Amino acid sequence: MIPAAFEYHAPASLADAVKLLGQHGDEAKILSGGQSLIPLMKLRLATPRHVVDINGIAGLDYLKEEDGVLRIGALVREADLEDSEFIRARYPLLHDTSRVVADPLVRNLATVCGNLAHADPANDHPAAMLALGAEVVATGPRGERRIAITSFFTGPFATALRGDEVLTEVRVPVPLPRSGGAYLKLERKVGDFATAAVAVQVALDPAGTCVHAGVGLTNAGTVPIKARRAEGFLRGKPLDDATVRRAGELAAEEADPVDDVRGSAAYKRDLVRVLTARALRLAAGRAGAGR
Amino acid sequence: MAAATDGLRSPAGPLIGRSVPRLDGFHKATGRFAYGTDVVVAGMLHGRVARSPYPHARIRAIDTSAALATPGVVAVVTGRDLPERRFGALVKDETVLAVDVVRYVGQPVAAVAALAVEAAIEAAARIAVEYDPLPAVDTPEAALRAGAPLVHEAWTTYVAHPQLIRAGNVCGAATIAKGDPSRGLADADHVFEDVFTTEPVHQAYLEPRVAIAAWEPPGVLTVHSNTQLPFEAQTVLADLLGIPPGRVRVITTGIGGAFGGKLRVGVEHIAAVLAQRVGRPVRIVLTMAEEFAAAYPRHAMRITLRTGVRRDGTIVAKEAHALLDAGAFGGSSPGLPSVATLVLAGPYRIPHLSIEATSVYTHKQNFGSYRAPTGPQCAFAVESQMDMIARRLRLDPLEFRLRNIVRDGDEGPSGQVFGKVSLEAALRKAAAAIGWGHRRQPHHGKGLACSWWTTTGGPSAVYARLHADGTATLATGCAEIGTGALTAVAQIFADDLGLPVENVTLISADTLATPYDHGAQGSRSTFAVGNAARAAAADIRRQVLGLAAEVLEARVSDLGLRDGRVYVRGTPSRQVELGDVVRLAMQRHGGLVSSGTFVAPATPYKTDCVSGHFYPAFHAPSFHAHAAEVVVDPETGTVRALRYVVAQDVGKAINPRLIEGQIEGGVVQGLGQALRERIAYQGAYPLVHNFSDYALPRCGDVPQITSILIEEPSDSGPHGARGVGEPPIITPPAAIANAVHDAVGARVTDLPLSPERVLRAMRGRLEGAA
Ligand SMILES: Cc1cc2nc3c(=O)[nH]c(=O)nc-3n(C[C@H](O)[C@H](O)[C@H](O)COP(=O)(O)OP(=O)(O)OC[C@H]3O[C@@H](n4cnc5c(N)ncnc54)[C@H](O)[C@@H]3O)c2cc1C
Repeated sequence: MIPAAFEYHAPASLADAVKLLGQHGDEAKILSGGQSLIPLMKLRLATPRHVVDINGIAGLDYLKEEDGVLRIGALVREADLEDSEFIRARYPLLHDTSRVVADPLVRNLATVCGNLAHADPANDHPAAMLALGAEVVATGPRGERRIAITSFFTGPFATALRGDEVLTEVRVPVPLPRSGGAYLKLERKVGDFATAAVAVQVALDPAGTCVHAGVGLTNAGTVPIKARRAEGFLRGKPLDDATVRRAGELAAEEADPVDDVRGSAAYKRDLVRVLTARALRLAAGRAGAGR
Repeated sequence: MAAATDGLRSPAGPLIGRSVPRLDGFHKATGRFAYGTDVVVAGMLHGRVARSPYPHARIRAIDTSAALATPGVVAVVTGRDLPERRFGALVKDETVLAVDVVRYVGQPVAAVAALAVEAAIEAAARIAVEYDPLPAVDTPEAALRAGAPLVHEAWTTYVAHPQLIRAGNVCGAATIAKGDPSRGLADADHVFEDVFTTEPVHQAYLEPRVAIAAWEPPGVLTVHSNTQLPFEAQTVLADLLGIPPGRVRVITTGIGGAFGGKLRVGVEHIAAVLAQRVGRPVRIVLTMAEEFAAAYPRHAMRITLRTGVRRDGTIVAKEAHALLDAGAFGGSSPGLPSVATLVLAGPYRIPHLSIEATSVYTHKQNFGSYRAPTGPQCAFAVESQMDMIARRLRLDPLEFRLRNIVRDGDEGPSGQVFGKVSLEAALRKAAAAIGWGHRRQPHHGKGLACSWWTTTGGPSAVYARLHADGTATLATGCAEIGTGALTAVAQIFADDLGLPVENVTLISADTLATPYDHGAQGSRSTFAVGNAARAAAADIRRQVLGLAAEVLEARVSDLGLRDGRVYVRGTPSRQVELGDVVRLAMQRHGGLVSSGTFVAPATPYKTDCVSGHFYPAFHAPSFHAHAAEVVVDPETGTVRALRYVVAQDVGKAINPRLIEGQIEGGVVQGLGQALRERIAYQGAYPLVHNFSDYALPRCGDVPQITSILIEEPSDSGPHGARGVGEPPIITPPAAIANAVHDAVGARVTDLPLSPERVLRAMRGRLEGAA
């Protein structure tokens, strides 16, 4: 449980971090919360020659709503979301999600951006961000670019980030009126990675008809999945029992899980069905409560 | 009066039954306690083991040149470099490092010693082994099939215990036969046949196994390791290295969890051969990945029960067949079928029995002795079936049990005769505490289960010494594995001498400095070491009172011992400090020392009832009943335990809080096996490598646990104590399975009751009903 030798860098600015990444290319890894990278290095599943620690860079820990977006800086920790009354009240889906990532020790360090950059299909935030329709900001040698979350996850543990880019921000559109969200996760033990989990975000019109729906699936495939057919089906319908059940079935069809120690593919698919319907009921209730 | 000087029979004083804080508690809670991984020896090198990636393969060649060329590497050894000597508890079938053939994923193939851990890791990875993979057998059923590959082709040449039943891939078998089971089954009104399976589970000790081996002048091999059984390690090491056991000093370090996983030799032998080769101390600390791949986890079992019952709910006959997946080597496995047969018979009056359990080699790691080995698997089968039968006969499961349990003076499965049996009290108390029979909410259910277990025998001996400052030292060969048993022993010893418990210092588990002890296993430490401590205390007490009688000019029979003083009964002002008595003893004859020994009396049984047995009867047996309340999510199959009750006969609660700790810990482990834990395999390849893969329960998964201690004194335990450590882990899987059935009408006969299995059982039930 000892990592292979590596060189440690602690740049004081984003520009320096980007420069270091440019210099070392494939041999460099960013270290933010370290809760995925360090275990991988200890197990020698990752053997970066250079570790670029971004924790010393000032100004990356902001969490604020501005110009119609919630901006989550690169050094915002899971615990920051979990402990925020503002997030709980306005972004219940994010609050639900951060509360079920690992355990408090991990959440004190793990970052939301790291959770996305790591792109483990079993990580919890990718599905949440897919449901929320977020955008990420990548900062590289030529400045910033924005990437829609839907084109961010390119494969298992692979993203659209270039080797010399830092994921500096996640941007979540502020919720429409009468919005609600929920994240439901089934785990074998408290703090486990999901057997499967479902993120939903809905907005209702005054009559209770769904005007917006986002559905994201965790550990239901080799990449985080956006359940588009379920989303499309929900739009324009009241979220009654038959509708949420049907949406659950559609989401289950869109899931593409594999067998692993956490469950068989068939069971996970069935879980997606059940959890989607439940999360929709919970989200609709929350949307209604905010009316 | 004689009783006052006979420590073994002197009445319990104020320390017995008191929850004194454990002696190591403060240091453990504040991070000051030294565990095995904290021990360093000057000049030590670091060892690392290269392991087999295949379940079964022939080693064609091993190239160690790149490993040897790694900077900092001092030595590399392979199986071929060592004399071919085998070890094993009942059959000597294992070599230190694989020779020519590997038999499981994770088997040690070569070992490296280097100046730094990093170099050792690097070098171990550079050992190039060419393998020719061979077909592997991954289950006992496959291993027993005609023409299956033999895990040990040369098994007939191995040295084995003469009573051990072996045949090809069978490495141990035991039976109990009584009455005429086929007639019993023929005469029964109903015969129920059910099959149960379990998967391997891991002790999940947080501290990996560690050993530091050093050769010290004049040729003594000194090994520090976190072993539960230093004396077994001593014998094995002496055997493997060809030196007298008296030249092997094994010292048990602090132990960060063991639960039976540190009984058999783990890493001591590899450290010792490396140290011998390099002439310097060598330390090996295993990684968690190694601990999951190559340890001694609990056996997977497959159990078939055929039980014949009369219409009125009386059990008349039982047949049981059980297979244990032993893995690639014997270890504990050859002896465990014996234990399994007693649990499979269950704590019931059954006139006709035919019970058979068999350990079978497969190409997997060596499954071993996890706390109450075979207990949870067998009790899961027996107690699930008891519930199933009760429901089929439309009897209340509690009533059905009460109709059949053993009672005072009954005969056990192998003919042992019980004294007092407290099982009815245990069942009734557990049932009452869970609210048995009360109305319940939908998807909520309650389950009951009961079982019985042994207090392992074997010898214990202690040395005792009183110091001139009024403190005492007690030296025992038994290790403290974290149960607090040695605190209870100190309590027992201090109580007999009227000392505050803090005045007793324990020295433990050093094969050259402390006397032989059968070790921290089998719920025996408080029981056996406690008895030896009472004998040593009685001897010292006799000496103290003799001298004090002179000083106080009183008769021995008028003297009492309290708070570190000897006083004259009736005139407490006439007293002498214990320290003064010690000083007097030093002048007179050189000091106040004693020793005490104990060996549990053999429990008589009927020899014609058993065959192949290494454990024919349960000594000072304990009886226990568990009750659980669960809620089941009908759509996902998730089971949540809401409340849990244990009623356990502990004989005498020497230290109630320590016992509650044992009960709570055991229940948590049992709930883990019931609901989530398993070392999953794909064929013979393990899929679990760390605590992320492995689903150990965490605080949030554990319900409120209520402990009810029943005190029905045993004949032979100190103050009537019975073994308490293992029983709490035995019954939870059955209690939970029964509660799940009560909640949703679905019966799961395979452990663990994963959400997926529960859901499948629920759907099966619906389809069956449709
Ligand atoms: C015991 C345990 C349990 C866990 N359980 C869960 C769980 O249930 N659900 C869950 O979602 N996660 C879980 N995790 C993972 C945890 O949430 C991770 O920490 C998180 O996924 C990664 O965040 P981090 O900040 O720790 O990233 P790091 O570990 O520092 O980095 C992870 C990867 O992302 C890259 N990276 C990090 N930050 C950036 C950035 N700003 N820009 C570009 N690349 C970056 C790194 O180079 C690295 O490759 C668990 C972790 C542990 C140790």
